[in-house]
Amino acid sequence: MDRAVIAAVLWIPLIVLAACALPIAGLARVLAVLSGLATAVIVATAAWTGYGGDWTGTVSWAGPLGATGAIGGSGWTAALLMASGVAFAAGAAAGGDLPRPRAFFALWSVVQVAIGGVLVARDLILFVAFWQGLIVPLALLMWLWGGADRRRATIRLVAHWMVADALLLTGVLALGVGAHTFAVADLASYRLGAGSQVVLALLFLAAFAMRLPLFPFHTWSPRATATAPIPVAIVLVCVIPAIAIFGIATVCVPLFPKAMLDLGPYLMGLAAVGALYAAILALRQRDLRALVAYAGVSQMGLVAIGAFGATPNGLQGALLGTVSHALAVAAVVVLVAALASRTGSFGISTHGLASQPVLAALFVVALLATVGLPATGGAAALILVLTSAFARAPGIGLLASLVAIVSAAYAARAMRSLLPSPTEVRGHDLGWGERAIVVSLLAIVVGLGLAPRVVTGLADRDLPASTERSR
Amino acid sequence: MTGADVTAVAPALILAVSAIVAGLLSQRPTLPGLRWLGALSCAGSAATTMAFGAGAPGFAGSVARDGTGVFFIVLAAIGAGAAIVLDPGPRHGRRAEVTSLLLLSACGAVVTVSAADLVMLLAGVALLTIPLYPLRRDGDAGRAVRGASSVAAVAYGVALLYAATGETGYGAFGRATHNPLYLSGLALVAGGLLFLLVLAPTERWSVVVTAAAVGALLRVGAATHSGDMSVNWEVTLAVLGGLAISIATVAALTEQRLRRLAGYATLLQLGSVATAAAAFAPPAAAFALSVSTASAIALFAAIAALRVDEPLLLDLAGLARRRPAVVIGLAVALAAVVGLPPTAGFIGKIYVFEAAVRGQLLWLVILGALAAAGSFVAYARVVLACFAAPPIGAIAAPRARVPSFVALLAALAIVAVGLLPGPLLEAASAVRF
Amino acid sequence: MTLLLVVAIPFVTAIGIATFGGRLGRRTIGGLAVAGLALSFGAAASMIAALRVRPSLEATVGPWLPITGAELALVVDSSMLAVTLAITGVSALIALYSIDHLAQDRRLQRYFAAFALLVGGMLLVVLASNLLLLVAGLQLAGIAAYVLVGHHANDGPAADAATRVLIIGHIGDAAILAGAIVLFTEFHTVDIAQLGGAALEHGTSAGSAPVIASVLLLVGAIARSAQAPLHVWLPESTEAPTPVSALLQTVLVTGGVILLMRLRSILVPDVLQAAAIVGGSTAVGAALVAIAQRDVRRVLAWSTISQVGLMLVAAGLGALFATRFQLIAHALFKAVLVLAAGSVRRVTPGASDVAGYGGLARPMRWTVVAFGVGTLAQAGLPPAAGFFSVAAIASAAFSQSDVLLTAVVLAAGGAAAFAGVRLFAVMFVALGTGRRVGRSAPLEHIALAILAIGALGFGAIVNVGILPIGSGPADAAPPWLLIATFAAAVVGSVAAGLIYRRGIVAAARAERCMRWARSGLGFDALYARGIMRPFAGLGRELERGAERSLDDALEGIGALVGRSSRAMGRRSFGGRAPPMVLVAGAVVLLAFWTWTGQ
Repeated sequence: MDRAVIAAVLWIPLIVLAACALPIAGLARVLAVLSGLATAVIVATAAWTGYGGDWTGTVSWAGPLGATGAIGGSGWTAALLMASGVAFAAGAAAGGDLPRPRAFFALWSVVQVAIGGVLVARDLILFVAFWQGLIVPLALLMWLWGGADRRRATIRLVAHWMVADALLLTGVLALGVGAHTFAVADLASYRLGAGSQVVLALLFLAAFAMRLPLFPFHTWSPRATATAPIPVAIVLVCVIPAIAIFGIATVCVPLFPKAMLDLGPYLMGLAAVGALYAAILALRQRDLRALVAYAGVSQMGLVAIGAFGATPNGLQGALLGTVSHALAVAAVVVLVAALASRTGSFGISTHGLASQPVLAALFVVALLATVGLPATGGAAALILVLTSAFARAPGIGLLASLVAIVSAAYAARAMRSLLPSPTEVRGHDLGWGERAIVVSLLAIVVGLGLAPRVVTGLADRDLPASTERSR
Repeated sequence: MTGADVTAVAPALILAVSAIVAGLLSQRPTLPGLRWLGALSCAGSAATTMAFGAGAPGFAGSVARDGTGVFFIVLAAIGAGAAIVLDPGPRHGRRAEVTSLLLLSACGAVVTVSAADLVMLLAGVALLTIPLYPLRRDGDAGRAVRGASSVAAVAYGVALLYAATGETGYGAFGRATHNPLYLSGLALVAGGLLFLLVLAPTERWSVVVTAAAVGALLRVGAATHSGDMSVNWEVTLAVLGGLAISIATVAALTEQRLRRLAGYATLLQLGSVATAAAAFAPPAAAFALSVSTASAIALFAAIAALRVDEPLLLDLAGLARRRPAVVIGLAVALAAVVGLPPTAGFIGKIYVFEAAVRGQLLWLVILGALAAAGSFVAYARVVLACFAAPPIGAIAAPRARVPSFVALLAALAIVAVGLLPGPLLEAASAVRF
Repeated sequence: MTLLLVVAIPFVTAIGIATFGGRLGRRTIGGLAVAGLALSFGAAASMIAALRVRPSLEATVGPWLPITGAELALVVDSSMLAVTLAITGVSALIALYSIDHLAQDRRLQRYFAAFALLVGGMLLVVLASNLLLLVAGLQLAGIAAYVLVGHHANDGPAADAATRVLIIGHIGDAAILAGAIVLFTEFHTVDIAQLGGAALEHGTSAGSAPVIASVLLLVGAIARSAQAPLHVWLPESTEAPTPVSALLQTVLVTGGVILLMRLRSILVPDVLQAAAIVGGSTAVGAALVAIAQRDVRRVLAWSTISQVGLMLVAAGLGALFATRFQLIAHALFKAVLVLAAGSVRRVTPGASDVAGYGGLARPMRWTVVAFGVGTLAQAGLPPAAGFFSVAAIASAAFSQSDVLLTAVVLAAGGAAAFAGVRLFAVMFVALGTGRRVGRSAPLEHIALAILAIGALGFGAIVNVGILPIGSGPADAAPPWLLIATFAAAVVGSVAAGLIYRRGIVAAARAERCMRWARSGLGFDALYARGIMRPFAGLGRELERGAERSLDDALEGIGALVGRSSRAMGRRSFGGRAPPMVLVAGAVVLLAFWTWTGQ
């Protein structure tokens, strides 16, 4: 990845944003889908041909503030850019008929730029700028296109995020002012005392934990997911957790190696307990979207165990799990929307999809893929995360195994509503468009399960910088 | 009068002359382009200031002509220009008189910020406030009294200071010795200037007053921060900033009146300014104040577009459809208030917080960052209210081309500075004490 | 290469059917599935010769996880080849049976896809070179089983049963995965052969990790092989269509046993001993429960649990040959029994309660013969295979001078004989209506015939050494033990025959005696009360307690801020600040400055 690739990542959505001004029906959505795919393809090509290597450069912006404007792309960046690109494409394609589509996709493109920016920023000020720039368009998307409970959900989300970001900003400034630079690469070689490392790491982690979302900061997630329009729900449960994990793995771990090592067991424990908690609550949800949200909290808790563990295997598992989770959950949300459009509600009840066999079959596969169906990326990631957990704290490993069991239970509960039943759902089977989205998402997820090294290799690229020192 | 004297007072002179001209023209109330002429003279004043730049002080050192002066004069002039242009029209008094009074007040602001002498300061404050008395919306006589009390406080303070030091120049502050009169005078001057800040933040000319008062306070503060009787401005400003930030954030959360919301927004940003000042970072303070000015202009433009005396959030319903330009301006301005990227507000926030971290004011950084969270919720309500469906049977609002234009212009400036902050950061770095 | 084909063919079949099956006819889909499984069987059979020359064959596809030993690779030796042959062969015949049996079904695409997937998953369990791939195979098989059991989930029970199959299976898989990872953290590899070597090297000095790992693996094996107390999924699963039941009871349920067989050298001795104890007690208990059941499907399911318990005994004792033998023999005769019973149910109106049968000997001649052969085998009467396997296990127990376990094995054998003969007597011998409806189904007959021949001849074949399933035949046992085994079987059979020859109604007293065992020794109630209800309670409490209080706390903060905001709004500035504020402010400033100025 070099300047050209990064420029493409940021400019493609901006071009879509501009094109949203054109009054052509349906153009905005098509372009939004294409922009997501284009990002993924460009980054994939660059990452796997090794084009540009792990390039780092600068943009000139706000120099007097001390912002170096460093940008760059490592393995994590590439993997998550690809995953988010695909998720954005799927989300844009899956929206159904939205009112005021041009305005929607204009804001959507802004979100996409912000996510891309977070992933390529290697300067903390720039990182925070993109990180916070995400909030406004996302809040507007939720407020203006959301469902019944959108006001409270949006306010809850915004308040949570902004409070956590306040801590992040404080941490960034305290670190950067002390070190006289904000570039991650330079900060990584800046020696900090153990005490200040812990304090700063906690400030940073607050923001990442909030986005992840980590128990007990998760309450915004189910509400927001249950009320957001489907494309935005996909962003909330797929992409936002991804950038949180990205922050933990590529900011916290390299900058605060000692603190992450010391805090590791506690954080892993919190993540494991939270994962179990969310899994149990997922079991009790009556709204499929809330179930997906709690399931996401649970699964990302497992992924976070790997990231907090910060062993090579843990980080590999975290990246693989994030990518795989993003794609699998995107597929689930698309299917939930499809199901709801046929039954008229998002509730869990017996649907009986006798005349929609494809929908039913894909739903089962997608749900199981989110909880680690074997031969999917999720299962491979779980193995890697467990390896890391058992190596660092066997008790947490056992707890994580327990989560895997409970997650099978909530998946079963969701699937049970799809088993044949006397009350059959009317309506067509899954349309070809939705079929194409879901099948391609699941194909990637299964592919990741069979060839996980494609992604874990990308995580390894960052390893020398991040884990060796923590040892 | 030497050449330096003329250069020093040229900006004020331009404003004063145009104020007189406008006053004379008030016999012909329907002159259409008058407010544009007023705005033009403000622009001229600003341009003159920038053209002359910093240099030797005039009038035997009583009128400073430094980078600080340039920066604040430009801000005040821009604010005055916007206030003049945003005049809602003949319903509230005749336009030419309004223009004239605002120009006079701007003249006072220019004098206030460039004053390096207590007498000059008193003159400036008087000239700044007195023309604003008649410019009230609701005929509230008490307002004049309050405005006058501010002038009176400054006057008493100046008298006491003179009594304590026997000099009127700011340079005398550093040489002050132990004397209760000195501190009392200083407290009265500072109190009077601070009172100016909270006096009328809900009016569109508050930007002028704010720029003037902040400029004068910074100058006085810098001058009194040395010598025997050095005043502990760090803690004073930090506490004031913390108070301003907390009150502005919490009170804004449930406020329904737009003018007050605009006032809280100004107050919040004044909190940032105080934070920066407490950390002895004049450039950051100046930068934050300019962001505040731009966002306040956009906010008052939006309020002007509504053509309601005391607009509520409800009155915004349907604005997104009718006046998208105003809503964009409003949204960008509020994003700047909250300090969100990619607006200049974000840069300002970082700039101020960096300074505060350097000044060991971490608690104020955390408070400010948390306040950003709270005010996001508070001001998100304003933007989102614009998207609500208009009430059935609502009368179509009159055209509002000028406010839309002003709002867009301000928003453009805010975003442009947010994306390319270099030039403004450079200009602000000229502000030092 | 052939080895890869053995595993790949079922997966390809599954994917092919899932993808393109919608355009094919019902019988074509079934044909494809049978052909795929038969091909897999053929591929496995073609390796017999090669394995006579070499101890094992390996095949590697490529690297998989970034963990040492976690490759996509397969390995087979002669003993696992025998298991492979049994799995592919029996499942191919069950698939063949399904074509006719489920001819009226609308959802055959899903059925056969899941069927092939289950077989593929189990083949991975048998052949995977490392533990992680093995777990993946188990999980795939578990999910396929979920789909299959839920196949006819129009009614609640089948859906419940499917969920139970999935979750208990998942518990097992999670335990095995955890065990595998504990082993990895200790020995730094997951390759089974390397692990065996490492465990041997370290011996008992390796600390607690091998013990923890062994316990976890045993828990997994217990769950996967339906042993007490994690057996509850198997009786429930009989709600599924007959061929599914057959597949579960012959192939899926052996997963845990295969695991124990493959990991024998890794597990610590105490845990192996525990496996034998669990297996033995399950074998006896389940056999008693089987005797008491009224539903023909449940009788068979419970006796499956009992028979698998015997396999666990053998595996725990290290009698690998006996384990293998019992596994294969049981697969053959249990398939016969379940499928034959299914054929009877298909053409007999009414419920599956055994009381509804009777007098079917004449109208269903060939089915009766097949069922008879199966019963013979289950009863452990020579020359059918069951006799040899029970004898082998008993002798294994005895050779380790474990008298109690020997007795347990013999008792289980006798009880199995009683249960089998009881069923046969009630269904076919006793008088009854003898009505049958519906058409005959030739493919069912073919499948049954082949399986029955296998069940009858398998023991003999092995004992004369035609099949290379390893050494250590039953004749190592002392002769009196063979006689005792035979005697136990005869006693059980004769007793059942005498009691039930006139039908179940006539044996009311015997039935009453056994009522206590009918509910499965109370395990279901225990689960409901001891696990499910507390768990549901925990969920409820978390939702009502933790989640709601978290919510309330956040809302409370919001409300508090809102109140103070309104209070401030009433008081604060906006031109209403009186001049007194100015004075007060100035005084405060003065005071502060005076104070700090000193």
